[in-house]
Amino acid sequence: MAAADPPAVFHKLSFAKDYSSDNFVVLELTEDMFDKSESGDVRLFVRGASEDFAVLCSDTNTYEMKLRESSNTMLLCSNFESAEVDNEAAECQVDGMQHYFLELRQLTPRWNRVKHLMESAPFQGAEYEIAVETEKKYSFGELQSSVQSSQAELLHYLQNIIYACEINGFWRILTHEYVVRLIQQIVTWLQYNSLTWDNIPLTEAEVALADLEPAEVMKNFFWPRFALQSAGPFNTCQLNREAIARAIVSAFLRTGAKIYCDELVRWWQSAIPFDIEFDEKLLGGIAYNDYHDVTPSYCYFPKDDLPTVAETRFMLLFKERSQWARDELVPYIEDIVTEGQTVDKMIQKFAKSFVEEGRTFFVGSSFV
Amino acid sequence: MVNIPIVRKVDLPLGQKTPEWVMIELQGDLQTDSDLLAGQEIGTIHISAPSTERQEEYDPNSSVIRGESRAMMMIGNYALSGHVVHVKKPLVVLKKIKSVDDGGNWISELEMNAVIRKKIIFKDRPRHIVPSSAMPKS
Repeated sequence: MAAADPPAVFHKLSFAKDYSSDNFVVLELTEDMFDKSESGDVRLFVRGASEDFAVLCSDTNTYEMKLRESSNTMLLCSNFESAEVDNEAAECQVDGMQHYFLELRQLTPRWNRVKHLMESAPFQGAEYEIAVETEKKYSFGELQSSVQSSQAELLHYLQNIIYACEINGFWRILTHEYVVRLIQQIVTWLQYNSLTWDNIPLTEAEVALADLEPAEVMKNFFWPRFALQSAGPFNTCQLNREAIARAIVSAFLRTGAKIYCDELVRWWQSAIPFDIEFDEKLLGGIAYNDYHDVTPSYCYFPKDDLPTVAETRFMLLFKERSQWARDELVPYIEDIVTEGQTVDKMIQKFAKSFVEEGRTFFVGSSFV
Repeated sequence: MVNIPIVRKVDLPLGQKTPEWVMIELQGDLQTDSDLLAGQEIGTIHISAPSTERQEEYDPNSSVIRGESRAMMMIGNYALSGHVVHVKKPLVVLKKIKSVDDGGNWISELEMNAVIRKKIIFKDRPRHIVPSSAMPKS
């Protein structure tokens, strides 16, 4: 040892007197998650039913707990640093011995379970409610106990991804037909009062529609989903034309698997109750253009019905069609992109690209 | 669905940090003739602080990371050499405990018993050391 080296510290290592082989589990967290959970700002939960893999939920995210096995032995030593160092050896005890640890990978919760439960009693309108059995309706808590998801993600899913609304304490999925009916009520009322789409007096609208549709549905579903931020000072709002067009076209396409492109454009011009140019982008995640067909047509292929596990999602996408253009594929992937990922990284993982006539296309990787 | 919360170490006074433990990682497995590991001696570890001189001459082929403390471990007749590293993400040592909830029911919880931020890694295969007493006399 060189003269400049500080003296070595000498530790004597032995198993703790109360050592037991199955005492501990080691879990890798991020610095932020550990700090917040130590201070009590965030509660972490391990969730799962007997047939599930356990997941970890924070208030806002859901993580898969991946087992990282190792051929190495990991000894957990509780007093290594604090062991007294005199001239004699410091006694250190080993409290645990591990051959694996758990690491986290963010995942998208399996929403199909929630959707499936809610579809057992969809909301079709107040007049149909008498026939709906209470045990087929689910509260937020009941839905949460059915899915491995954080509270914030479930709420986001219910409020922004599917057409759902909390009615009398139960979260209900609204049928596409019912959503179109709501739009029609508004359109009729606007026409009757000679009002424009851009300047709707909210208070008056609520009063006028109170007799027709449940106030909860209008307040918690219709306005948040189909109105843009109020522009005027008098509690007025503007309707979101794109969101409404998507709702109407989605309800229409559900009735059949395929429709000729020019037929859909003709239908669009007559059925959409306002002036909005037909744009294929508005069909993203609802239907795709099958231009390889003899007569080009649109195929109904709703994203909401696809699984949330990336690998199976890609498998089904490429089973549906062998190749996808990038701009067609993106709407079908966006909702399963997790923290630290991007749409492109995800596509690269499961698909191979090629360029044809200046447009980027993807085909499935061999293992998808 | 089972819901197991991860909680602060139960007997940790408020405002105090979770205890820090150290992980010792070695190649292969530890074996003993005895069935019971509790109380058994494993070996000794020497930690030497990073030499300031040696930092200058960094050798990319060496397992010793520049500026890290070096470690030497002896288990029986085997010598292992390694070094101390800081882990990128904290490793939390969880222990399953039972506690009573507000309604008086027994519930399972995972207690954050300790956090690991430092590892002593012995990457290389252990070297067998022949004690001088076993050497043939010349």
